[in-house]
Amino acid sequence: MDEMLFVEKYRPRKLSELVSNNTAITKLKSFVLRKPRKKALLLYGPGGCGKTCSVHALANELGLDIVEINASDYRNREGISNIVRNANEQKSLFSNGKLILIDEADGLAGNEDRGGVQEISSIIDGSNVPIILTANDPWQEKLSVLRQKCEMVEFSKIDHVSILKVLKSICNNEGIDAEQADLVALARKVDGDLRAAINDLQTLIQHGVINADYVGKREKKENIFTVLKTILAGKDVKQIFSVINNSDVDQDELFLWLDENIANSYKDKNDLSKAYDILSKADVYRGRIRRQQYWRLLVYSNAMLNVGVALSKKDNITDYVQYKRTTRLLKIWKAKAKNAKKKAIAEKFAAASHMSVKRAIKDFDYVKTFLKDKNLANQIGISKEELASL
Amino acid sequence: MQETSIWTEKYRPSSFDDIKGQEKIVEKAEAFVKQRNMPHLLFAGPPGTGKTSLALVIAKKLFGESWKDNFLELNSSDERGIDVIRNKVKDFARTMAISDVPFKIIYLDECDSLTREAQHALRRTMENYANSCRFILSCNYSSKIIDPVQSRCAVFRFKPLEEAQVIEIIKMIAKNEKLDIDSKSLKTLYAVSDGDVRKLENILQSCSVTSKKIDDDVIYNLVSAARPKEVKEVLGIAIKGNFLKARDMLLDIMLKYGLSGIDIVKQIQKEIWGLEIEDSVKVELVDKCGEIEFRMVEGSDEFIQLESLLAHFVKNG
Repeated sequence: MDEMLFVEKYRPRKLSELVSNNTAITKLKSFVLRKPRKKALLLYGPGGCGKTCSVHALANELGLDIVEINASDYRNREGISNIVRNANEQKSLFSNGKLILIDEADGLAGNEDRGGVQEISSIIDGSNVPIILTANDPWQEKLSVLRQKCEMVEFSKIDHVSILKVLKSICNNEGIDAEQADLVALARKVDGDLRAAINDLQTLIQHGVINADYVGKREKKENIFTVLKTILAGKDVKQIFSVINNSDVDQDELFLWLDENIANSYKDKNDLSKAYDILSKADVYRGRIRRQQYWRLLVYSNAMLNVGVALSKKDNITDYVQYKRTTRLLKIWKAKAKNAKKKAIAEKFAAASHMSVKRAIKDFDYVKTFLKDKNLANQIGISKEELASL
Repeated sequence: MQETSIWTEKYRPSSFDDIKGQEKIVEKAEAFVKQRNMPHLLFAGPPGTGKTSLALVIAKKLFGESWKDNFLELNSSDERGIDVIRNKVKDFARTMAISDVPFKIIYLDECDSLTREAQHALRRTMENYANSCRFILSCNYSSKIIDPVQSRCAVFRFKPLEEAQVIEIIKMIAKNEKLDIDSKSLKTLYAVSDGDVRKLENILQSCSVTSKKIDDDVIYNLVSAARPKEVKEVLGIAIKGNFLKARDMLLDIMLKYGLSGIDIVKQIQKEIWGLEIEDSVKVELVDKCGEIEFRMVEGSDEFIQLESLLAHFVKNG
């Protein structure tokens, strides 16, 4: 029997050999061929759906060398910059060019890989070579800087029919006679993760029995969308705890996601008001934790947040809901920039009339009419720019 | 002094007699000036009733020409940290007065927004520098001032101005600025200003930009433009069951007018009584408002609290 891992042996050499995610692959190819490119490309999606594979296949097809930085490398500022600089300096003799692949970008460690994200972001700014990142969960806070510099391309789970096809062709190739039903069971069990399916197949072949029951189901890291779906669509407490435990979604993030999406999911008035009431209580706990550093309260805050919100609804939600990321923070940021001028004017008005800035901002709409008067504006030091904003 | 054309300054009382509606307080203040001595003072009362004006008159009468060197005005709501008390106040308090009056005056406006820690620091400072410095503290609610500070002050309670007194002020300004205001609109101006003279003067000055003839239309136009009336609209939308739209609008209003969550809850509470729902439901909604305001103080994300309130309106619609 072959010593080689099936996942290596049957790794696609050409894009056409990939079985799923065609749209994403087309986007990937056009990104690499396009010139000039301003941004990098971020491929995201669950494990084993072909992100890294498609990059390798494409590089192979186009004759590009891949400079790969993955989680096994030391990915702090220095580490990254060394690898990339070396790559840039060595001219490749036999290939048409290079491609930088930063695999598992969401795995950048906070402490050990300090400065990594900034370094990657500055490489993106200064590189002519196409840069491709992959991640399972691109919504992490630490990746927010990178998100802005990347085109985002989503890879989705591979359907079990496509997985089945791959398994069958491997069996053919290896001269193995397998029952259709067993292969189907195997393909379904891996939940869209082709790499897992191929690995499981190899394990079973080595044991001489192809029976999906012999393979344990993998515990997977759940992404935010699974977490949301578990909380907002169902009411299964056990499942909620299991999903939450298997995810590393940050509590503050979850607050924002739920805050945005309860309203999209809970159409019943009573469900809605109950859920927001619970969310509001969870926030009160959070406030007390922050103010008093009393972390004991975290369990209550969490319980309200996930199980509490889930059980606020009378019935399970069966409609499909597209979960949205909150736009509130962005709106607040924009408004702040806009209000800066108003505040500057209010400060000057306050200084001229024995009152607090706070009060001046409150009364702003009463006073802005006469502050437009040029002489008066001039007198209290309102600049032309500020005047124009009135 | 340079002639200023902000009316609140132009018409700010420059003598004790000019301060309307606070006769007893003014009488005592005059006595302090005559004796060239005064205790620490605490002015409590609604906005626009003459607290800052009286403090300024006291300083001008006491120190004459050199009043600016001997009078420090600080706004607590802008500089409310304990650092301000420790640095600015102490620096000013520890140097001797340069006049024939043996002390200087520090005027701390809007003291109710000082943190408790800052108030405790203030209490020590008041004691330590009592020889060289007197404090005039002003606040809207004296209940927010800690007892040890209150007990060190003579407390003066300012009353809201009565209608007749406010109208007297309006007439005086109208005469000076050649404004034409009919008798009905005099009352309207009193009503929209809530007895707050500063607000009144700001409204008057803004109206005068539009027209020298000021009638109800001019006034209501200005006042309604200034008040986020959309809050009522948001509540209407929530009651009709459209949570998503109500929520988006509410966030836009908050950001557009730069309002805090507490500001919005207060506004919502006011609007509830005018909604077209049963009175018993109104009572329940006001109760919920109170609960949410409380949670807002305790919690960390004001908007989540507001959403919870909105969802309650949706439920009761």
